[in-house]
Amino acid sequence: MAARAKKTKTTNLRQTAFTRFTLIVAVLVLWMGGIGVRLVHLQVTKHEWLKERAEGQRQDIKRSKSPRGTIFDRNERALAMSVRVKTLYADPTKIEDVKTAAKTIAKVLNVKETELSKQLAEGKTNEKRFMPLAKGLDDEAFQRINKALDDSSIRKADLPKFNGLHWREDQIRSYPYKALAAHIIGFSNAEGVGQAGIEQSQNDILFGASIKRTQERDRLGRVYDETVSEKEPPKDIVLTISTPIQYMTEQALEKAVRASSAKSGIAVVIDNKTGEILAMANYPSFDPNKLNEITADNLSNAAIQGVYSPGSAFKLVTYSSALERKLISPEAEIDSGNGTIEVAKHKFTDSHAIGRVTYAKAMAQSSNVCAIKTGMRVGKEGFYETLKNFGFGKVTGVELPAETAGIVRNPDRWNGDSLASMSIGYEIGVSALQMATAFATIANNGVRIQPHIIKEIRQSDEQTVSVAQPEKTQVVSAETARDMRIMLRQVVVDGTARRAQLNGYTSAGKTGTAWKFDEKLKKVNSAKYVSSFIGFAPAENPAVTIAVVMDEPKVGGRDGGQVAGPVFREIAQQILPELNVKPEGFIGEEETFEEVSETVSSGPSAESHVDREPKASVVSKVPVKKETKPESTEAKPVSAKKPEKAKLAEKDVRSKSASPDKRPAEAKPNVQTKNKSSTEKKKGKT
Amino acid sequence: MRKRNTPIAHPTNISSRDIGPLPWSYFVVIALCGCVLAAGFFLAARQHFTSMEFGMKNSQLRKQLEDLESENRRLVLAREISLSPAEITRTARSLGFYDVGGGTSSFAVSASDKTVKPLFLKASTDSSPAIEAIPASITMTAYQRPVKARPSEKPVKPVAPEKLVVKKLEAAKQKTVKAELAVIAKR
Repeated sequence: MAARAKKTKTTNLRQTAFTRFTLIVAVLVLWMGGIGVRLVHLQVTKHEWLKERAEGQRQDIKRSKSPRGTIFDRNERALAMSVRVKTLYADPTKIEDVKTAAKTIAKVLNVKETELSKQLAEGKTNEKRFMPLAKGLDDEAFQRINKALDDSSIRKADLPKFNGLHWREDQIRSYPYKALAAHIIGFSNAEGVGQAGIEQSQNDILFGASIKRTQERDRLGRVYDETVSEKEPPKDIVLTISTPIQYMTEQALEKAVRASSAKSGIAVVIDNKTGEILAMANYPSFDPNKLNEITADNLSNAAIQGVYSPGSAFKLVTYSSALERKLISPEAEIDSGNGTIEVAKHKFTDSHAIGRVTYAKAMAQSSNVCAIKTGMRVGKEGFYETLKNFGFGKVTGVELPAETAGIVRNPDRWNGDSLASMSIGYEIGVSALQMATAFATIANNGVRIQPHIIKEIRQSDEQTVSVAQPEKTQVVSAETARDMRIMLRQVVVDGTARRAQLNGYTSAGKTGTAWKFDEKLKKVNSAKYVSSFIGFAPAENPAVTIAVVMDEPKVGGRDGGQVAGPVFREIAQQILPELNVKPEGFIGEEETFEEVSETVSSGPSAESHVDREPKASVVSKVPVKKETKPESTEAKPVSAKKPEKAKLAEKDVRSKSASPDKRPAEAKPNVQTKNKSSTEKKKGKT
Repeated sequence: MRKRNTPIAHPTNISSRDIGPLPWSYFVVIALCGCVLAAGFFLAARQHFTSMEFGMKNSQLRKQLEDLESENRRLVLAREISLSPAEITRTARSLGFYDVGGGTSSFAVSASDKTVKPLFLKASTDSSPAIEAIPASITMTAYQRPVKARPSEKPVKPVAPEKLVVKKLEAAKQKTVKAELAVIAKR
């Protein structure tokens, strides 16, 4: 019995132990299963939420922009650059006591406490997270504010140590040279997007790429790891313009516009051997640092965006076309008759008859009749081909926005007198840059080099990315170009542009004067002119081509030679030494010039002109069937049969030898000693 | 051939097994392993904190570099501003210089004026003959600039050169005497 009881007891103990063991295992399994389920739940279902939370606790993602690329001139002078500034902003939701905070902040920032308190309270109510308090602060202000706002009781890794206040990095664009080259550089808006000039056309290159910083922070908020991911960094742009030349050009233009009370003025300086634009000035101008002062009148870069009728300056194309086809030569003669020519029932006149003259003389005297006759000899197709080869009617391709192609109609749309009108620079619209390029082509032995304003583009580490490679085209032969230079030289020596004579250098060029089209009157207004002079210097081996266009000069002379010629002179005289061009000789400043005014127009009538002009936005349109003002053209018959080249050379020598030296002693070349006697004689006279 | 798998003789009774003390080498091995493990943890922890420290320093240096670059940019900008013609003109004016070419009217020549006179500069405000006589091609330097006394300034009386020499000698004498007195006082 006892044994049975003992057996039963042993069995029960084993069962109990087994039951207990099973229970423990079950509890463990349940426990582990519960944990497993929870883990699966957390890691699968709530994975994203937990990840975000974890990252939020230790990671801080900051986005900023790298500074926009810098624009340099050819001498490495920074014309536009961005600098980092700081913005202090508040997160009102993190400010507990708005009034106390406003009091402290107002004291530091020197703002009204009540207004700030009101704004912060409003921000807190509306749960605003970003409220800028002070913008564009430099490093000094940043340090000062941090020091003033420092609250030692606050455990915060970032500055300022003040609850709810943070710093944000921004950048501002600055133009240190203010209005200098403003039309070329342009400006960018607050978001750092270019709005005009190079800033606009090269926005993709200059644009400051966004930078993403992923900062790992410890429990105290200190950054212990940082990953910076930056898209392609911005590049810097080096322009072809030279700051001193640009400044001289702008100064000369401004003075001339003010003195003649002109509406506006344009000046373009091109290195004709490379096609580099050394200066491009417009007046009135603007300061890109003061965007609120920019108006529609001063914003436009008229040198490339404005279209005007070139007038007589376009005779360059007419004569080049004829010279290229060997139809004329500078020494050959042409009879202008009685100074009148009728083409398609339209009478074109010179201001007075100049009789039988050489082509060089006809060009110098700016005879319309001779130019028309020459144009007629060339013919429609030939003339059109030449003007297209010179680049008229299409954009030059300069790296500036909104460049105009000008207005050139196809020959099938020409009227009976169109060829005649175009021969003297009417019924055509050109830009100042196109005209400068055409003259630069002649200066460069007939090779047209595409004008460009960007010299190179490079990375911030000074590694050049791309260099300008302008297109080169032989427009006319070197012989034609040489003959044209002789004819253009005659214009300055003995023609309508005597005021473009330089001191110590020879120059050549052509004047142009055209009546403007009046949008209100819907016809040309004989009281409004566009006067221009486009030339190059030195005449023999030109270094620069300068185009000067004056819009509506009111005071003083109206002719290109009177208004624009002196501007050319002033610019050329200052920049030639800058370009290390050696003086050739001296033209006396005190020599009196016999003024030769220019034939303005004998183009088509105003009414007919209105019908035929394209409806494009045109700065000035041209011609009228009106008698020109009487000009004092030297209509002397050619007495001697000397070759024109020989005469020109003689004239040059004469003028050089008869010139008193007004240049500083250190700039005097050897010629001075040779001409000493004649100089003394001249001085004695004066 | 020798039989490799010799049967192991298991003791039939556990209680009869002779359990001796563990050899000390076991403890040494365990202690070594423990040390290695602890050292590993220690080194790992140290490396972790060092890396964090380096990370922080790196971050600070990066920030410093950015600040220096920003400062460099600011300085370049300041230099460019100070070199700009507008700023130079402003500074020159504040120093009493003035623009001799400001009032040139050589461009505004009447159409009826057939004979063009040589281009001479004319000062717009000041009709000083010294300025009018200077041709356009010559740039005036500071030395050529005719000095014009400001109305507020008191005219400085000219001092004869002999008097100046005497004054200078007296000053030098006084200086020497003072120095000698100082030496005596020291002694």
